[in-house]
Amino acid sequence: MTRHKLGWNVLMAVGAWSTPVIVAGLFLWLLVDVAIRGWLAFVPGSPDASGTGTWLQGPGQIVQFLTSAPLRAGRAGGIAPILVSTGLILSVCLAASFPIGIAAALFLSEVVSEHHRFGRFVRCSLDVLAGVPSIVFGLFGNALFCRLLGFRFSILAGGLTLACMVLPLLIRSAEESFRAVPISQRQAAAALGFSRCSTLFRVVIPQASGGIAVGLILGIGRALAETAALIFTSGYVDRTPTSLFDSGRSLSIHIYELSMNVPGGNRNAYASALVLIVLLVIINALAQWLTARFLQRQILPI
Amino acid sequence: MFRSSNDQRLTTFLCGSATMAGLISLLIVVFLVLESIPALSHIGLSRFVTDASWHPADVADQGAFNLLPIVVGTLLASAGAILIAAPLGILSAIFIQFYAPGRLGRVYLQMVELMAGVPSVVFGLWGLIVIVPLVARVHPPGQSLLTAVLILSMMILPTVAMLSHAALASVPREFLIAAAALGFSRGTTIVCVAVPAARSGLATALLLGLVRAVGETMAVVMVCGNVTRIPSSLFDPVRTLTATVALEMGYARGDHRSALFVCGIVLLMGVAGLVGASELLGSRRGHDPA
Amino acid sequence: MTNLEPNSALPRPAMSVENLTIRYGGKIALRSVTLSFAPRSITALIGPSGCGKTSLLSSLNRLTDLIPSCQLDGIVCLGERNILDRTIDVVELRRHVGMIFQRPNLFPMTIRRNLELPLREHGWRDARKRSQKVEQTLLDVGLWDEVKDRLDRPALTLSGGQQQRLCLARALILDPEVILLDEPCSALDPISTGVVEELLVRLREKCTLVIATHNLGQARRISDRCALLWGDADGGRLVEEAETNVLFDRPQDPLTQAFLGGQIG
Repeated sequence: MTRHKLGWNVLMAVGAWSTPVIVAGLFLWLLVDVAIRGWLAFVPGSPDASGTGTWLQGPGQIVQFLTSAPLRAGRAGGIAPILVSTGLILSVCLAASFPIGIAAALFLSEVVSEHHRFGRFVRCSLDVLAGVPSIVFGLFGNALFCRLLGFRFSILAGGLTLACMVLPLLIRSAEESFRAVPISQRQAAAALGFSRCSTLFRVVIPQASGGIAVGLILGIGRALAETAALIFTSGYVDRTPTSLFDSGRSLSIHIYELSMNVPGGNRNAYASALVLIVLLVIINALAQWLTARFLQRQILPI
Repeated sequence: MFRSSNDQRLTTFLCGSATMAGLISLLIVVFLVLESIPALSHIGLSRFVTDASWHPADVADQGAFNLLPIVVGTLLASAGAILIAAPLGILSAIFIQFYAPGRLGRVYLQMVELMAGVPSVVFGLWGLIVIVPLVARVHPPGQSLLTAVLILSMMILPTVAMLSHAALASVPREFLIAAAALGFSRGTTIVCVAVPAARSGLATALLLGLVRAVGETMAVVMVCGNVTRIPSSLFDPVRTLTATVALEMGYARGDHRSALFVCGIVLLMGVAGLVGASELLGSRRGHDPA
Repeated sequence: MTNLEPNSALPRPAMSVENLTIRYGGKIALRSVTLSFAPRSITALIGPSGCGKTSLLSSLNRLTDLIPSCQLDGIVCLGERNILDRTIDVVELRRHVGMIFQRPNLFPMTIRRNLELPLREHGWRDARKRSQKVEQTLLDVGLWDEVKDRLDRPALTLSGGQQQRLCLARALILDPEVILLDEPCSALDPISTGVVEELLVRLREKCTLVIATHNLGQARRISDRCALLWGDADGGRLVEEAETNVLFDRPQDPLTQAFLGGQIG
């Protein structure tokens, strides 16, 4: 190798090896910081990020945090109503997006061919939807659900807006799962005189269920992390909601509110951020485990 | 024909659902346009670029609606972010594909995927509490264009890295084998064979990373400083389109609210342009004709 | 729902095709084939790959409907009815004409469920009757002794030969008049092939079998009649059709002679 080439290779190797170090370093810095500051928020006597005193005393702080209501605009107290609101928003989101998503995915994979004009239009439209910024979804949700349909700031409006956001993701992964079912299975069903309904419900959907579950879980993860679409659709109220038409604050909005608009709220912001990260890690792990298990089932012995 | 009428009903339901899903993006455009009409008709398009500044609530002289500083803020923040994320992301992909031994590459890829799932508020929180004071020590205030660029680049890096990796992984093995047979060194293979072969996928990765940067809201709001002036240095605070909407929508009324929808349209057009450009480049992840 | 006459004892062909032409998006795959399949017989379709054997088979149970670009012209009769008629209930048709594919395509369920699902689909509500039918059919294909203790285990744990025989059982369980087989032994080892061939010869007493095969030895061993299909740039066509012994010993067409002699194809 000429010296020139050697230099080039060394440069490339240095670049290739130092990049993951830098990236991993930054990411770990973030994770460790959130973990430590989040954890410290629960330890009695530790100063919080802004140094304004302690709150929780004694053991069981985490449970208390998760099960009590916020006090003094969230500087003190817990996040129980926030968790309830978050759960309700997610439920509305899934209840709205799951049936439509699966049905649309079935349409795209089973009813129309690759080049069918309407199918292409739907796919294209969904690709566009996937690129729309979340704040624009917030504007849309505000205009449609809060104003036009009169839901005002409510969990229903927030959940439906999130459903629109999550739909492209769900449809894409469901469609992939349906396509992964081998054609020979559909041929077998057809040759046995199965109606289309039976072929879909008895043969295709059961075999695609693993992939669909993974897509669903990833959709939940995406929805959990979402903030901008919710700030003016589901609102800011930090009390426990009594109906779907009540306004409710999601976990990510709570973090934003505490860190930006509540002086001295950093401590609980970090605690809430820790809770959010833990939830997301669980969800991710669940999705990974399901993927591994599902893929295993597809390895057929012949 | 009992069976077949069930089938017919099912097909209708499936078709209807797909139609509904397909109409959403159209609805978004329609609603954005409808809600911005008041601003466009009362304020007029030209004032969005010629007014003195952006002070919509300034009742004294009917409010000022110059979007330019805000648009410039978005452009600068996004451009800066992609300038940092592009080399880091592509090199990450090169590392995973060509340098990482055994499982290390997979582990790194999984870590990057995890990074993609971190919520923007958490990035923003960390940026606000940790990075802003660091930047402030160099040059106050901490909330500035620089901080926004740094945080944004961390956020879009996973997108760039994952899409670049997909592009590099789909380079046909024959090319790499041919390069090896010709005695190319690893660096040469990467730079002269793999990257050019994957160039449209890589360009797509960058464009889609840019899309994410343009659309990012929460993290930017928390660290950019929110002053609507064209920044004269990296350390000046700045404001983006997304931050404007997020901060003012809560209290905006009438024409101000409508003007925010105009911001939304500008955002959509920008994103549409970028996505359109990436479509034009042809291959996208998963659609590569191998 | 139109009624399809099951074939009677009269020497009327169980199935026949007349001037059948199969096109895929304008390109001709099979040109003007006229052929009939006698009841309770085995007919082998032989010929090189791409000559249209699979297309012909797929048209006999209208599985070609699954391919949007496929067009069928001509007449395909099951008994007296032209099954290409648009008023035909395709689902009912496929109860009378079953199909076995090159690779076994059992559902990823238990053995029992693989067999019961077609029954449930076609209206068998009584669980006991279904169970009895399952046992009877497994006896008919000679699998009963091998699987009777594992009916509730996954079907995909069976060996390749057993899976293919189970596919046969699954098709048989609906009591079809005709069974179509598309190279059923090509994915099997010689011993399993022998077992399946033996089974097919036994099944001839119950129904008509049409088997596409590129294994000339197999065609010679088990079929009563043989039809040679040949494909060229204009599509596939029927070259010659005769009783198997006659076709192999005294082929009329020079193409047949060349093919059987191994000089082409």
